[in-house]
Amino acid sequence: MLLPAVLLALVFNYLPFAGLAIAFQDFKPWKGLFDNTWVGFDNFSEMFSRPDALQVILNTLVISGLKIVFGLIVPFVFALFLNEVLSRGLQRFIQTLVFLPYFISWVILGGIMIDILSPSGGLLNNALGVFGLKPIFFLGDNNWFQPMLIVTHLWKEFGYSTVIFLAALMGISPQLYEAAEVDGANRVQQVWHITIPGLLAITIVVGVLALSNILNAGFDQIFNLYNPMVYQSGDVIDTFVYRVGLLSGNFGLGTAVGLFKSLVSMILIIGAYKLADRFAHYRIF
Amino acid sequence: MKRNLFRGVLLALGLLWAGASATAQTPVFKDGKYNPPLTLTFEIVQGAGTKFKPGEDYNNNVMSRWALENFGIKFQVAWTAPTGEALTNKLRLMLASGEAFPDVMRVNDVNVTKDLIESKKAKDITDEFNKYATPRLKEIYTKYPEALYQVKKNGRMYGLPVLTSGNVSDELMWIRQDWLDKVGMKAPTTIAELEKVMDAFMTKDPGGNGKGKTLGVSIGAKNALATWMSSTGFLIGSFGGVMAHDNGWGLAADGKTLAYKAIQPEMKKVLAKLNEWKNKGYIDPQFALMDESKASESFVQGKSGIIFGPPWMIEWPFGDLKKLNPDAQPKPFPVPAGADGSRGRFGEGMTQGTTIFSPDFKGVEGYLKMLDRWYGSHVAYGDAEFQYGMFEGYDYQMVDGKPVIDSTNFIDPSMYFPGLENYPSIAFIEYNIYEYLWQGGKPRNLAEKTLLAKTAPEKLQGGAIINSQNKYNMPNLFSGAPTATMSKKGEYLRKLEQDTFAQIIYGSKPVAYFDEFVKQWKANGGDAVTKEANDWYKSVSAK
Amino acid sequence: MTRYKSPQHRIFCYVNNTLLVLLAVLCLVPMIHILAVSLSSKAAANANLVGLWPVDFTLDSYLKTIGNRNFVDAMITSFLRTGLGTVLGMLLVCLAAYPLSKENKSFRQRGFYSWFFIITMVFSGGLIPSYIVVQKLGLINSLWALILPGIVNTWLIILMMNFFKTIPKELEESAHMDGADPFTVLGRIYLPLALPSVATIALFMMVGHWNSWFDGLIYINDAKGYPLSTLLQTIIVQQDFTKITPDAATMENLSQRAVKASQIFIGAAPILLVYPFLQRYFVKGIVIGAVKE
Repeated sequence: MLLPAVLLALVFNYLPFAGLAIAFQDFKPWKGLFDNTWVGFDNFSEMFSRPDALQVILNTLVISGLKIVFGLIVPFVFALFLNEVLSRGLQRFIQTLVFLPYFISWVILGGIMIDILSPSGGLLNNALGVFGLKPIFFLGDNNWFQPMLIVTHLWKEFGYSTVIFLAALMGISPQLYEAAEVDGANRVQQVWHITIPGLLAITIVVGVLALSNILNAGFDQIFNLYNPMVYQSGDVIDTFVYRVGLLSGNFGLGTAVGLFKSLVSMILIIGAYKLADRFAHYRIF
Repeated sequence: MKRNLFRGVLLALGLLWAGASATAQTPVFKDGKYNPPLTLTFEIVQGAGTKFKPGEDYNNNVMSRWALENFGIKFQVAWTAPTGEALTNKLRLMLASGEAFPDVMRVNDVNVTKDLIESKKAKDITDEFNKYATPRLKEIYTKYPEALYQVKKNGRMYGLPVLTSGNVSDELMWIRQDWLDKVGMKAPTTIAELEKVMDAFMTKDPGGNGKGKTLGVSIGAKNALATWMSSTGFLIGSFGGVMAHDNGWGLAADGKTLAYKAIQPEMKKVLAKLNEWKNKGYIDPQFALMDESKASESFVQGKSGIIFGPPWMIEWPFGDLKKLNPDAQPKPFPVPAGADGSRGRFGEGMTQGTTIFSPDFKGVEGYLKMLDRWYGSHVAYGDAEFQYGMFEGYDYQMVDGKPVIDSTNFIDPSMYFPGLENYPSIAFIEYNIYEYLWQGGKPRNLAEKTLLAKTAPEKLQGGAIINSQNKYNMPNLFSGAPTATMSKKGEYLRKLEQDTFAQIIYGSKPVAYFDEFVKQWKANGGDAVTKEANDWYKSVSAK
Repeated sequence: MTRYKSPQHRIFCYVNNTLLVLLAVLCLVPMIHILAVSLSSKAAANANLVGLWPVDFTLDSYLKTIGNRNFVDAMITSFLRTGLGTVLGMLLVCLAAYPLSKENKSFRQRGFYSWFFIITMVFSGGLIPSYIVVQKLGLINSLWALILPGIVNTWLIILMMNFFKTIPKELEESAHMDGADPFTVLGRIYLPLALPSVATIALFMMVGHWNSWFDGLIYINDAKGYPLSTLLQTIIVQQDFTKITPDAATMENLSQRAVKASQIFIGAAPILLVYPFLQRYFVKGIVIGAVKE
């Protein structure tokens, strides 16, 4: 039964792995994968020898780490509360509405956010002004930029991720609730002892799988919102690779960075897999 | 699936047919025409602006019929890409996969041009150009040697540059004349006067926006300070020095070597001035994150009365301004001078990409002849064939013996031209004609007459102003592919620069920090970049 | 569902409903803004003057997109690729997830295959070698180039496998004793029991196929063969960074905010129409309860 997937993966995923050789080359496209000049780890050192390398990697980790954590918590909690809505019609209605922002591309959303967050007449600052607060330059202030990235990302994506938790909720057997009721458990206790444990497994799975993106902080979003004012807090691996690529189409560096990201993800995934196995006795895959 | 199968059969038949015709006689260029017709394959950007009449496509349209009829050249599109970026991507992938390239390629990336030449996928056309190019073409392509830098290697020519008009997107000052009238002022000619006008616009509020809702000037700095619209090039230029760019190369004081603008002492004064403007509220507090278009919104909305950019802004984005506010009168003016009389402006480069021929292509002679005739459509020549425009029923219609442009049915056939994908341009000619016509000169041919009839007066005036200020055009003099250190360090240096400039303008770092930046820039590869840029400059300007 | 009628619970319900509706409105408002922009005149939209109500109402933006000569072709290509891609993809996901959901002792190489797939999720050869593979297989310009390269979706396989794991083993064992082969067990027991999960994963797969545009750009050589999302990307020229200085015509075209806004609705409409239909399968426990009785 595994055969078709294995064969297709071999052709379309494993075969291209040969291209990882580019990471160790001064790659000229026309020379083919194996006839280029080998440069060892030059492409990697180019990335790490930048004076701002640490800052860029740290930004990436913080932004994407927070996105993963809140990207789990928010849909999880939202699904729990949505589950408590008694009217099925209203439930579906809300579920559909929160799904909408997923379809707006960042090219459009970027412009809207710049307007909403503007320190001169933006919606948010006008609202803050009612409370006598001074306007804040949200997208030009290193203290605010990362939180803004997280919040706007969550707003756009949480409706989509909620679907997984809703599906898992459906998988919890009703008999468990019936039995709990017989034992005299109230609603809160039922949620605490049945619903949440029932969702735990899938939460761990989604969380661990999300680690494969730990060094992808969300290029489209950041690219459309960042600016020189917030390079300190907003420049991430992908934006820097993009700027390098724009300048010189440097394939070697791009591939090296990709490989580095994969390695970090792989190590984290293996670690998380072992932890889940040992402490939760749950084999994710 | 059926369609694919069908396609496959067609393809197989096509191959058979091609095989059969290969044994037939090869096309010979005789009496200005290939006989039998020569097939020319090409790639092209099929952008949203590319339109076809019903039933026409790249292989069959007014331009392809013109080419077949006049030169025996049969257009056959190999593939299309929707954007220049996608085209570049595709060319790179084809380089890597070893696929066959089309006969004629429009390349818009310096690196890909360089790669094609280095990998011997670009034909050496030196001899053919010398032998077959008409005097007109030779003049156009060799008048400004810097236009050929990209396609030249060891003195040989590996393609043609795609020329720009040299100054069509250069910078001038746009002001709302109706606002000037309301506050009773004249257009500023110096930066000091400009500041007075900005003050007046902000305090007297001629746009009726309400107190504190008007900006002094619309500028955006997301991509660069000096740029093609919402530019600050005028301010950089007003402090003198090598050029009006922040991220480009100009001639140093010795007139022989290249110097990077952003580290020159004048730049420090520019930053101090912008910091002052920021504090006074002349510019949008978010200007650092606005790109050229976003920054121009405030002008179109009537929230600012001054913006710097090219003459064609009267068509876009001011077309929208006029629709929203019919009373608005944006007028073009020369860029203002600094305290010592210095001026400068953002200047566009000489070229925008290249036309490369595949080494196996046998039709360079015919292509050059065709290109020459196509150049006849340029207003500078206005050959009889193209006196009213390109092709009747496409870019113009004849009504009662007069050419009329019907904007709803406007189709631009120049988009079909292989290797060019545009109407032909010649450096520094177009606005010269604009200036002549603006000053009341009688049209010297039908093409000029048509131009006069179809050009907005503000654009004509703008072109005239640009042309009269050509000596302030200081484009980026480095036009080669990035050097080794540029590839490695260039991005970091630029980030350092943009970061520092933003910090200084917003006041989170003192102006004096500029000196520290220069030190860092040099130490982190800037010195090496400067040396390599100069090596390149010496190598190309030697001959 | 009608079992909790205490006053506290009623208050909770009101508060909860109100908060969730507020949250939904927060998601809806920007969408209304974009809808308003898409229905406004070009000038008003470009000048950024539209709030939550269209200015100079017009359908031009929609007509412009739908009037594109390749629009119908692109729609068909998108439906084909999404339909075929989802059917084949689901088949593959289910076939792979079922054996992987077994215990290690009943499927000895399980560990090896799990990691085999995980590696494809984490590592990637990059654009160039992937393109070469597709090109050498002769798939350029065919529908298969849009379906096959991404068909092994480890993320969804793992998700499916974990949903399968929650299905009681006893059901399978009793089926085996009745002489059912693995395919029958998968089709007759696992899939019906995991219906909400199958619907979820199918939704993810459909959205993925429907929205993906970059592969169309790279693997299809002619605008006639583009899927809809690729075509939508190209109707408005993307900012072209290779040209340093654009011209009025290019910029005019590039900056049509109303058209861009309309494309969101044109692009998302089919998915949004399918979504409520899929929601029907999110029915709590009915199936499981039925089988267990």
